Amino acid sequence: MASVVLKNVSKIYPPAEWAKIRKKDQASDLNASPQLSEKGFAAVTDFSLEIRDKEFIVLVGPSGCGKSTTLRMIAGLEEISGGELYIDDRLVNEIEPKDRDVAMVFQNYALYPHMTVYNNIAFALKKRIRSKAEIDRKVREAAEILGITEYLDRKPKSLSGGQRQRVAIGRAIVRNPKVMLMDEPLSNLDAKLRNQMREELLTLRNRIDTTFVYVTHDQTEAMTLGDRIVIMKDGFIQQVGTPQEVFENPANTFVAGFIGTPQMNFFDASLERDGQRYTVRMGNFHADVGEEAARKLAFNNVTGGDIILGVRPESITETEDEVSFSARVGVLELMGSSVHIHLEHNGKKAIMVTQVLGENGKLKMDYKPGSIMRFRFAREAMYLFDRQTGKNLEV
Amino acid sequence: MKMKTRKNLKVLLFLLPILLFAVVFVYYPFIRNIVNSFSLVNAKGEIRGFAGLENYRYTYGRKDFPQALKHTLLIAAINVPATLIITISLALLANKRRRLSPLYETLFTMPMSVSMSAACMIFKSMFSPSVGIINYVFGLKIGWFESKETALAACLILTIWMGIGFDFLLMLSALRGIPSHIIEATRVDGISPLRRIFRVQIPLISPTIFYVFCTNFVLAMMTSAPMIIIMGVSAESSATNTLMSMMYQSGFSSSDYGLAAVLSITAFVLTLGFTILSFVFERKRVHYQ
Ligand SMILES: Nc1ncnc2c1ncn2[C@@H]1O[C@H](COP(=O)(O)OP(=O)(O)OP(=O)(O)O)[C@@H](O)[C@H]1O
Ligand SMILES: [Mg+2]
Repeated sequence: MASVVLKNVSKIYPPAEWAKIRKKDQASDLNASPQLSEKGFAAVTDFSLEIRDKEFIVLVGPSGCGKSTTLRMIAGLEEISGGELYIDDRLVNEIEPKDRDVAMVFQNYALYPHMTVYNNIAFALKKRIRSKAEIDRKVREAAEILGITEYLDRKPKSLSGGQRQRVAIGRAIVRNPKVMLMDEPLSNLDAKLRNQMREELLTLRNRIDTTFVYVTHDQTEAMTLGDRIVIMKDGFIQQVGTPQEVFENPANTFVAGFIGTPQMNFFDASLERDGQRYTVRMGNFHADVGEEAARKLAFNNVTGGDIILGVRPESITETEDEVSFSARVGVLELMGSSVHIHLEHNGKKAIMVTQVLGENGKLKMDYKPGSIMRFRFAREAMYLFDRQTGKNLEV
Repeated sequence: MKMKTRKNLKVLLFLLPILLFAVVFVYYPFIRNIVNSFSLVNAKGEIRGFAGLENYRYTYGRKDFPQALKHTLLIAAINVPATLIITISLALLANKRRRLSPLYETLFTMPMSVSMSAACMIFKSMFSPSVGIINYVFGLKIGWFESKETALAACLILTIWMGIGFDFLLMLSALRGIPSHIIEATRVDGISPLRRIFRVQIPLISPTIFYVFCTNFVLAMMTSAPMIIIMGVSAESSATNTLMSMMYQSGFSSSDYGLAAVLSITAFVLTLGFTILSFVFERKRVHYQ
């Protein structure tokens, strides 16, 4: 139950420490990395975020983007190289992890292998609470919530991955921490169990009212769990927003490509400005961007030129119209009621998703692999990005 | 069936060298020793007839036997816990990697590379009443190896020191083998350092502790080198006699093979009995991953 505020927080791993992790032969190609300087490796740069009390924040991004590092800095397991970190308005940069009142669930559970499940959960309580009965009540309550009561006498070794993860979560929630930190807690589970645990986390979240910071590289987890999502890349925040915001208004091509499956298609296109009107052109296809988009583009002083046109797979439709672009149909992937159609336009690959389940409950698919067909997109579905910077031109 | 016999034969063939070695140097002497202890053996080592329990009666009736037994058990009782405490403490201190880690890891490990006889000489001069550094530093005037009261303590310090290097290395690698996220979990959960050491780190390295415990116990029961090399057959040697040094003297100096056999078998039985006891304890307290 606390707010967490990060102000320009950054983490630089000193060169010596960094070199130990990397093998010599890898060093050369990493010299090109913009995160690397004489000072060391900048794993997190200028991270600023205000996490509200009881908010569920998800840090998401590709491997190595600095999510765990950020989380570990909040936990106090990693020293902060620059910036300030406040928990409940208290500057905690120099505060030991134990005095921050945070709990952490590790990716590989980090259970104490020699203790029973009961003791694993009770271990951290024994210092804080004197009464045995009180500890017992708390442990059983947590076990009840997580459905692990029957395993309390077992050792972690004899539990399945999902059960172990529950114990790890139990160990964190009994402490009733101000902030709950979770580092990819579901990534060691198989797909089915992951879905189930994700749902349970949602229920759990309603039962234990606390602030969550959750790290994942899975965008589905991020979208379903987070009140707000922080998308990171190479140590930088790319965008912060609610799942809907980042899906509808991605700040740049990276976010646009990262959120949503299958990922957004990107085409090379051009933008023409004529007074207050903007037109997107791509081969034979052209479309007016519409009034609202035009207003935003004009507000941003966009003059036109080469752009990247982003279109979600669901927004591509087949057409007979002359105003269209043609593409070769490649592989079809039937996913059930929908089909993923791989397209090739001007040597660039794209993917389109369309519903094929008819009202009669039968699938109707009239796409022939190898054939050339015409496609278009709705004007509202177009995302316009700067060709150089990748920035969304409308935000 | 035939295939199987051939396969077994092949296995036997490969095992032959080590089996031969074991038979010649382990099993034969061992059995010969047992036989010796019940026989009349002359000074050349030849068996001259059956003696029954006469050797045992003679040995256990000697004046110096209870002393040697007492010294042996005392050395084991002090050496084993002292070694465990010292090596675990050193390993805990050295656990965190620092810039100078390699330096003091090497320093702690040094005793390993010193031979027993060299160590004896070093300690003899360190403990020397006139030129010894120990007396000098602590401002004492003790003739460590020269007085009956302190000779055993000096021998004990020497044996403990000799064993520390290797056991320290074992403890250190075991400690460093504990997954880092488990230690991080204790940090986040606010577990105090003492609780972390006694409730998490020590239980997690308990297999290594058990190993060090057993090997040290066996070695301690066999302690004899400082007694033989430093004390020799001086007037004070009775103050440090152990079962093994007594056996050495009776076997090699006095060629009393019956006595030597009984002493070694006594030490063996005691060691075996205690080792079996500790394996019972292992079941309960040692945690294997
Ligand atoms: N102790 C360290 N010393 C040097 N560099 C490190 C250290 N820990 C992490 N890094 C580097 O910092 C970067 C960010 O690491 P981090 O663990 O935060 O990534 P992540 O986003 O959690 O990735 P993943 O999804 O793979 O867990 C990586 O490039 C990593 O190589
Ligand atoms: Mg990580």
